[in-house]
Amino acid sequence: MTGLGKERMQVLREEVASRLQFKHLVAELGDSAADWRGFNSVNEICDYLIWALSNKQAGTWIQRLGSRDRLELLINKYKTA
Amino acid sequence: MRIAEIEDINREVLATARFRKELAETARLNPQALKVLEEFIDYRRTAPTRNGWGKKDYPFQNGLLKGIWHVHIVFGKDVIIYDITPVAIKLICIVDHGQIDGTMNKGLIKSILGMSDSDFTPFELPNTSSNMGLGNAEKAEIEQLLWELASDKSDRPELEAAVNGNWSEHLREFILHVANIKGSEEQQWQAVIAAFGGEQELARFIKNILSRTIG
Repeated sequence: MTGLGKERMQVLREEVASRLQFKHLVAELGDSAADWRGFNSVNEICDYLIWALSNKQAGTWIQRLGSRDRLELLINKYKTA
Repeated sequence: MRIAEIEDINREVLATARFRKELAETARLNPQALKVLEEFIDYRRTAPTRNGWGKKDYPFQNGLLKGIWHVHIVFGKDVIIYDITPVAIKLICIVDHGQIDGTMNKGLIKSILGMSDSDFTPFELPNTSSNMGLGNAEKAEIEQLLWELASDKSDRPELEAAVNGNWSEHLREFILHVANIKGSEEQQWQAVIAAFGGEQELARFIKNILSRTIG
């Protein structure tokens, strides 16, 4: 049997890593996947959270995490440039 | 008749020529857009009109477009402007977030408000994922994936654990990603298992390829 090929495997590995990161961030936020339906990546979630922080829409997560700083730390942990 | 009963239908999806053209360009730059759109349409076909699709979907709150909906395909970037009625989802156009943030371009408003029923025709998405269980092609791809993983020293321990019924989150995610089917995670997993004739058969398959490969 032929394999998927080195390049395809590399792409798949990156995509799976990204899916797992997504799930882990959602779990750390105390949300479910359904809460973030339609979001494609951790960066997209982070962009939303940054927007939410600057528009006073982040209360739920601040409450869950205990402080604004912790939410910002979480964003910084996952957000890539 | 209650409103909930009136809305318990499968809405028709309609789109303008402009939307189709803009979708092609959006999908070219961001292939995931089609999958997001598919999920959005799946939800919006049956959800009550006022129940937006989570954080990304809400109507304009004021101005001339008040009441017209918009949904972010990519948050803060690509935005679909659409209308929804009890019987139809009407996809109008796709704009850059910058175009609707703050003062909106009058030309854009005019073109949106100028749309009439004759501008909309039935819309179908290109296939982005399997609707019904796991197809032969997807199953073959999973088999190939497992062969690849078995031939990699660092991945073999995960497969060996799976043979003993301990599926790592990583391996499971890998398989589901390749399977590319709809449904909840558990439904997807059950579809994979079913395609291989049960969990024990899948474990036997993995054991077999482990015995025939060297990491």
